Amino acid sequence: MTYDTAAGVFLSRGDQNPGDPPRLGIIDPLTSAVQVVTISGLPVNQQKVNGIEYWAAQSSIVVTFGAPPNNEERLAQIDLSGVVLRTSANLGLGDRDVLAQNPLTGDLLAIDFNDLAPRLAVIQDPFGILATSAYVNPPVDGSLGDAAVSPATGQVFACRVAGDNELVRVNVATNDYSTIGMFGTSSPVVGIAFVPEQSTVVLFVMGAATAGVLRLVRRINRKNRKSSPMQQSAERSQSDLQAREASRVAQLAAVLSSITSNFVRTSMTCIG
Amino acid sequence: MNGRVLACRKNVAGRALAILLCAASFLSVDALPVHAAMLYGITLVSSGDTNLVTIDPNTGATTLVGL
Repeated sequence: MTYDTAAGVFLSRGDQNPGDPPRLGIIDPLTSAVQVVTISGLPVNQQKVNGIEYWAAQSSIVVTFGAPPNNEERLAQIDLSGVVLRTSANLGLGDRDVLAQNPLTGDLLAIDFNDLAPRLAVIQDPFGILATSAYVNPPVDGSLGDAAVSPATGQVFACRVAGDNELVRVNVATNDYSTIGMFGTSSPVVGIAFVPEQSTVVLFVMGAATAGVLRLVRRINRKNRKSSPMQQSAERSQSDLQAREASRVAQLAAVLSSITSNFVRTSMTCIG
Repeated sequence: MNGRVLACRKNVAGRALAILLCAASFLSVDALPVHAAMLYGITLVSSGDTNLVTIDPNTGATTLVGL
């Protein structure tokens, strides 16, 4: 599971039975609408999809894929309609069931808690000059599923989908896990994702609104100071002046309206 | 002289409108909740449906959101 900050929707890999095409689930948190689309364009015999992440640093949706039943060793970039835009070479890490981005660094992590070391690896330039490096290598744990990195702290969280239904933290410094606590749901949590901090958006919009208003006020003042009253009356008629002022006010209102509507849309999306 | 008065009035009116709009934008921002990054999860219900939940990253406790 991942949160697409550009589209304001959660994305999830759909269940995939043997022989079935891979599917992408799109969940709109505002309307609770769920849309399922088929992922198309993967190479023949390599159509098993598992990890999914919105990689904000690259503004792209990426998935792990490979030969069934469980060899997701490559990355593909897809769009919201499920079309594969490009594919990577084999990452050289073995199976990778999970993808997660670190919002603090922009790094993309390819993860498999029950496969080869390093179980959490950083992927660089997957569709260009591919390079990988170890991030952290905790013990094999076959009960862990999806993972997400906190945009506030950089901590890696995972959900335990087999056995206890609980939240786990991956400790980078000590290469191990800490149990945070039980989810407290009767149904297993099969995917997790962070939604970015809303206050960042608020501060940005407040700053942009204030700067925009002040800039327009300064512009109005500068225009009014430029000409003497006599020159003004000579250069333009009173109706011209009124038209210009009305235009500036309309411009000001349009800018603020745009900022406000964008902010409300973004905030609603973030609130979920 | 009339032109100067007219310009002055418009200047004051423009400035007042800008201040009002600026204040309104701040008020609308303040009215919206501000919170830290939130952790969400999807649960797989026995019927095959999914639910969306929020997860407290300090305790793991979930709250049903929808779906």
